[in-house]
Amino acid sequence: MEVIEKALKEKRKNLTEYESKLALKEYGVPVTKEFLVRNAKEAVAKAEEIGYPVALKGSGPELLHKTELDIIRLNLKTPKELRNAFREIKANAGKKLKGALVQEMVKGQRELVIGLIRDPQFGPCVMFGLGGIYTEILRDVCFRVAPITEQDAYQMFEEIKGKKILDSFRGMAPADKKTLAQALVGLAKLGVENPSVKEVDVNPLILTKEGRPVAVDALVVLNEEAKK
Amino acid sequence: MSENLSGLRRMCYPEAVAVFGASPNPEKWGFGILHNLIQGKFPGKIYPINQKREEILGVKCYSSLASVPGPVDLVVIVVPPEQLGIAVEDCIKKRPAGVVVITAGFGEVDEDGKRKELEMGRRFQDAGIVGLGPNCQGMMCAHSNLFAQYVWLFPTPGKISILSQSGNVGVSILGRGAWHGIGFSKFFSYGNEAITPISDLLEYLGEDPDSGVIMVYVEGIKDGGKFFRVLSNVCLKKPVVILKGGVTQAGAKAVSSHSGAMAGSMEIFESACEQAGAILVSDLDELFYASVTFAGQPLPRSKKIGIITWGGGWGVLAADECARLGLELPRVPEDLVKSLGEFLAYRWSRNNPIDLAASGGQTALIKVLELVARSPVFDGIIHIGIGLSAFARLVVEGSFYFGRDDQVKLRELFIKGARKIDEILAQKMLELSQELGKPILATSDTASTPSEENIAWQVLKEKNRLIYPTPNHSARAMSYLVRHQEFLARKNKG
Repeated sequence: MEVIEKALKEKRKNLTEYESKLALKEYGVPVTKEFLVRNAKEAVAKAEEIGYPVALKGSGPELLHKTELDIIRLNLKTPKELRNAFREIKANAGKKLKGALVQEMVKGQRELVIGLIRDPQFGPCVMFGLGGIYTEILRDVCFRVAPITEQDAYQMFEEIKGKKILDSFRGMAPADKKTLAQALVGLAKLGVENPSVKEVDVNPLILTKEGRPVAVDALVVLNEEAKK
Repeated sequence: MSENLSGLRRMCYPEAVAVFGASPNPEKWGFGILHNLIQGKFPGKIYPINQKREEILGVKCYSSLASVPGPVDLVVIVVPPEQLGIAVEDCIKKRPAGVVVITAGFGEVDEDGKRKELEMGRRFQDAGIVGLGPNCQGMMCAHSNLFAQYVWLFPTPGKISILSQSGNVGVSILGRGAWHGIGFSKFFSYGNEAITPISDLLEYLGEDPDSGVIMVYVEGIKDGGKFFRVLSNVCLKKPVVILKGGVTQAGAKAVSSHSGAMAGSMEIFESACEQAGAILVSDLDELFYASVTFAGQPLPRSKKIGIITWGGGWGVLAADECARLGLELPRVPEDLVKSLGEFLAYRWSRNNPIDLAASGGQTALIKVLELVARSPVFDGIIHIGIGLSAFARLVVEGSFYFGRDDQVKLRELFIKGARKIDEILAQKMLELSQELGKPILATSDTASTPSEENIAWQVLKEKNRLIYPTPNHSARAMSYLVRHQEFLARKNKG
C-alpha cells in the first residue's frame, strides 16, 4: 500500500491517524469522514462540507499521543470555535505539527475496539472487544487467527462477555453486525497482505445510536524488520 | 508429509518390534517395555536387543539390531543417553518405519541436550523414519495389541486416542479410563517432539479410522501455524479435546499498541482452538469427561435439552449449569404434561427440569425416560436418578429394622428390585439413545463409581458410557456435544 510504503521509506514506525484510516478504509473498515488541512481557513471550508459539529486533531508523524499533548478539540459547533481550536492546537504541538484533521463528530455511547497483532506462533491475529478505557480495565476481548471469514467474526461477537453491547439497548439500535464483521474480515486481510504492518489499534470504534460502526481513532504500527 | 502418515500407520500396526536396550532387571525401563509388549499379547515378532543375554522373559535376544533376521517396523529405544548415538545409527541402517525414543536427559535438561536431540531428529527425518520422544513413556495401539510403553495398562480397543506431551498426563487418563471400563485406540507420548512434529501425529490420528475422538495435552507448540491448519482440518472429521498446560507469561515483550498488550500466548492459543473447532478444556477432569462423552454419545440435533430428575436440587443445579452454558430448556409440552400426570403424583414439577419428586413408584423413572426421550421437543436428555440399588443397599443395611436377621428376605427383595430397575433403566438409555440419535447422560453420585455390584455402570460401560458424578458434569458434557454439533453445522452451511 502506498501510505505504508511511503512511511517505511521515511523510516517511520507508524502511520498517522489520517494515513491509518486511509489504509483501513481500503480494507473495508468504516472510518470517520475527515480531511487533512493546513490552516484554519481550510479547516472552516472542510467543516462546512462535513457539517457541524466537528472535531479537530493536530496531525504529524511525531504526534502520537494526542490526548497527552492536548491537541484534540471535540464538538466544535461554529467557525469561530474551530478557528480558536486551531490556534490552541498549533500552540500546544509546536513545530511537530504538520497539519490538522477536521473530522465528523461521531456520537455514540458504545465503544468497541478492533485490532491486529502478530503472534510469534500463529502469525497475524485480529482482536475484537470492548473499547475505550474499558479495553484495558476489563480485558474483554477475543482473537482469531487471520485470515477469517464473516462467520468467524460473528463467533467473536458471541465470545465476549459484554456481547449485549451489540444488541438494542436503552433506545439505541442493535449494531450493524454485517458491517462490523466485514471490518474484521478486512482488518485480518490487511494483516495477511501487509507483512510490514506489525499491529493495528482501532480504538474506539464507536457504535452510533443507529448502530453504525465508525472508526474514530486508529493507529497502524509498522514492523521495520519485515521489509528487510 | 504423506510419507510420515504411512510411517506412523506402519508403526501403529507393526509386524515386528525390537526393544533396543531390553533388560532382565525388573527395576529397569528396558524390562518394563518388553514385559508390557508380551503382557499385551502382541501377535507379531518381538526382538529384544541385548548383548549379554541369550533370552529375557523367555524371548530370544539379539546382540544387535543388524543381527535380527527379518524386517523390523518399530524400534523402542531404551538405552542410557550415552549409548543413544549407536542406537540411532543402527536404526538408520535397519530402516524401521518408526522409533520410540524413551531415553531422557536431552532438551528438557540443557542447551547441549537440545542440540543433541535436534541432531538425532534430523538423522531420523533424513532417513524417512518417524518417531516419538526422546523423553517419553512409549506408545500403544489397542487395536493391534501393541503396548510398547512403560505403563502397566492394557485398555480394551475403543475410539479414544491420546496425544500427550507428558507421559504422566496420558497415563493418568488411560488409568482413569481403564478403571471406568472405557476403551482406547492409541496413546502417543511424544515427549520432546524431536523426530516427528505433533502436527503430523495429529494429522495421522485425524486420518486413522480406529480413532473416533482425539484427546490432546500440550504445553508448548513448536509450529503454531501448522498445528492450527492441521487442527482445523481434523476437527471437521472428529472431535478434538485439548488441555493446555504451561500458561506462559506474556513477559516483557515489546508492544507498541493496546491490542499487542491484550494478547497473551494463552489468549491466542484459546482463540485458535475455538476457531479451529476444537474443544478446549481447563483441567484433567474435563479432558476425561469431554472425550469419553464424545466416544459414547451421539451429537444432539440442537441445544434443546430435557432434564429428568428423581429429586429437586440436582435438577435445579443441572438447569443452572445448562443456562450458564447457553443450553436451552424448553417447556414441557401440554400433551406430555398430560401423559406424565397420569402416573406421577400431584406434586411433580410439570416443568423442565422434569422433577418426579420421588413419585410414581420405582418404574416411574423408566416410563418418564421413554416418554421424554421420544418427545420431539427435546434433542438431548440429562438424566438424574439412576443407581437406586446402591442407595437401597445403604438404606437397608444401615437400618435397625431392615438390618435384622429375620428381615433378610425383605432386604434382598428391596435390593434385587432396585437392581432390576437400574439394569432396565440403563438398557433403556442405550436403546433409546441409539434409536432416536439423542444423547442421554446418566447422572448419579452412588452409581458413578465402578464396582462389581454397580449394574448401571456395567451396562453403560459396554457402550463406552460414563455415569456423571454431578449434574454440573453432565451439563458440561452436554454443552461440549452441542458445541461440536453447532461447529459442524456452521461449517456445512458456510
